[in-house]
Amino acid sequence: NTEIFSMHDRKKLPKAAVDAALKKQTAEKIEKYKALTKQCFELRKQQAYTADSLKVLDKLLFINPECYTMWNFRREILQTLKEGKTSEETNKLWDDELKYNAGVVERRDAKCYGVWHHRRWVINELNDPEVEHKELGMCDKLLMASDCRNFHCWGYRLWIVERLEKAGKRTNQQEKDYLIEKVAQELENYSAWHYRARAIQQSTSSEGATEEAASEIIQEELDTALQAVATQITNQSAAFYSKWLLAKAEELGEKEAVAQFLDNCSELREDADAKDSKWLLLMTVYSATKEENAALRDECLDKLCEIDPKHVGYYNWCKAQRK
Amino acid sequence: MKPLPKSAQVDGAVADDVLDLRLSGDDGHATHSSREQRRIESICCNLLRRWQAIDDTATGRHTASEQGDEEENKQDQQQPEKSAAERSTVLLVERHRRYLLGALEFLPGGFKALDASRPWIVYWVLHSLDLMRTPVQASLRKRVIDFLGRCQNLDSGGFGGGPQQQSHLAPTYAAVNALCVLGGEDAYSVIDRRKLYAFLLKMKQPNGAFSVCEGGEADTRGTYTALSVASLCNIITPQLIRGTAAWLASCQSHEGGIGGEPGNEAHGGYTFCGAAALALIGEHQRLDLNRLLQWAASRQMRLEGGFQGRTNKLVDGCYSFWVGALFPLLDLLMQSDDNKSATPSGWKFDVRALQRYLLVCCQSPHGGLRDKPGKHADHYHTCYCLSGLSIAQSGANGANVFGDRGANALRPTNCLYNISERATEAALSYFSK
Repeated sequence: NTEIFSMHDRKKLPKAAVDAALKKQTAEKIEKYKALTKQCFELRKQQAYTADSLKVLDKLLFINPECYTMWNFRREILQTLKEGKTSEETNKLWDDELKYNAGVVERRDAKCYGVWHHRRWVINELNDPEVEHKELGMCDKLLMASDCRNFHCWGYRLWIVERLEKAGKRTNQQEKDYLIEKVAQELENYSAWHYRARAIQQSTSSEGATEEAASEIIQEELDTALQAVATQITNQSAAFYSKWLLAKAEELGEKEAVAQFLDNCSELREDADAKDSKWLLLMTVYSATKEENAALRDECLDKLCEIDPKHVGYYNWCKAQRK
Repeated sequence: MKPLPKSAQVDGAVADDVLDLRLSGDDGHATHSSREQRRIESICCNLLRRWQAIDDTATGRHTASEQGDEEENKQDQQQPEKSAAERSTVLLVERHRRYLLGALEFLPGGFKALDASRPWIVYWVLHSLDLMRTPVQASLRKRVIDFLGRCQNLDSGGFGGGPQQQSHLAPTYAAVNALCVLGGEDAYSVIDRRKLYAFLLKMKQPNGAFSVCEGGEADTRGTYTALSVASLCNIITPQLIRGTAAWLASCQSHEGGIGGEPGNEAHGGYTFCGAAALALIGEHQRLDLNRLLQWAASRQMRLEGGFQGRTNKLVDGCYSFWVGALFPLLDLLMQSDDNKSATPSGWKFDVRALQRYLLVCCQSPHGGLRDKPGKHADHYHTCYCLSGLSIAQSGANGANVFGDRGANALRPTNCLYNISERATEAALSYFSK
């Protein structure tokens, strides 16, 4: 009834009227959704693997991408539609599918398992490194636009990177370059640090590099971590990343590099404001690995107990580990 | 840095933990993350400060004769004096009960995204009610049993997100758990174990992981849900779990936590799934348990008291269970291995700070619990906040209950399945026959 919404009516709408209108609208939406669901399940039962069915699914899956049964139906349809098509036609089919899927991700729900899994399925069907390369762009666009920590996106991206690396279409250095860019954009982006650890691990493994080269990489990386710390000593990401990196350095026998890291932390702590910063204290603890630094390590752990009493249990346990 | 404020003193009674309300700094390098973190800390700080102020206006000691039965009063007398603020901290049981029961009657249109997860809603509600010792009426019990039966697919085995929907491990987990919460022959017998086993076997992948549904993703959560139901229903076989332990262990990241797939970032939910799954099949020694413990301990937030799910993310009430349950779990595992690393108290997180976060910051006055202040309550968060509360209260013979003991003490939840200990015992006993 359009009269209710007449612009000429300046009286305040009684709440009951608004509620009733909304309720009616909602009820209609629910009926529409239920009918759509029913229709899709019916089509699947009839094995109607057609382009028309796909159009109906487009609507349903956009409203409720969590409807996993219908993503299966979608795959069944696509498998039928690709039969007897020219390569140009199939390329268009997959291209359209990737576009539709991206639309659901970007405009409806970027964190739905079913959507991302379907995307992997399409990429698998396509098996085209050039397309996979473009996917890196799609991921980056999403990470930049909505949530740089979206683990669905990062997980999917890892899957793409692994495929490209296996096919020899992406280098370790390219990956490192991308990740340092992400870290520079947001120092707290632990997801980027996490995947950087993977890249470093790859490039310092025995298959990845000579001992000399690995040594250089580790030293450079320790410098990078330190730079991040110096920029923002309150950054927990740099601290947790350093923990892993220092352990890796120890593992590779880079005792001097670790000692250098410790010296740098101590230098940063000379600033009165930074002296008792939790993360700096932790990084001091992680890098005070030599026997001669045992006292410093304990001193820092004691200080941590004082300023961070919630983790006293953990700090005492760290102390005990040493003995 | 300024020294910490002294704990509140009330008539000689000392609050046995210190409230640290200093906001995180950003060292002059503000980012989106640091601003968000400070924003949440401010909100929690205000709530916690208001809560703490109750002590300032308190007068007189708590008298044992005011309330409760003899046994509880005795226990209160044995415990150190609770501050006025703490005594006033109550779980709004009645409001949460109404909120939960309401979900089984009607859900508005905004819940369509849960249309493929209806057994989950049943589980979140029933488990939460069980933790709060709420009996389920016979009529509701019958409706639930009937509904879940209709979600089961007798051709393929397993349960779907709703009647007519394909079987999927997540609603299967939820349905089995919900039926075990109800307990009793009529509930247990709904589960077609033979068909369920066939379904699980079909979901099993060559790499050892389990797909959540036909053509679906295979990850830590799929693997946990499969093993959880298999374990409860006593249908684990060597064939079912061949290769699974090795795959799960390969999901442990360099941080010590566990990700969804090998190589993924460590995440609270997946860490629980991975650790619990390995524990269920006795293969936990494949994990670096020390690093897992360190990762878990590092997830507790200094000011808020709750847990974050990943490094540099915000606090969220649901991780009270996903991360919180790792502690009793690890305790169990490390003790069973005679590992000297377990401390005498066994706990490596601040159980009181977690409870305070949940009770002071996560309860909605309209009923239900939430992720964090500023967010709406929902049934998922209600379930996992209460589960985390139960975890934090357990151990030390119930002396860990924060606030009004009579109102707040929950039933203990099992840290592997996340149904109550008594429901777990009953189910395991029934299916072992």
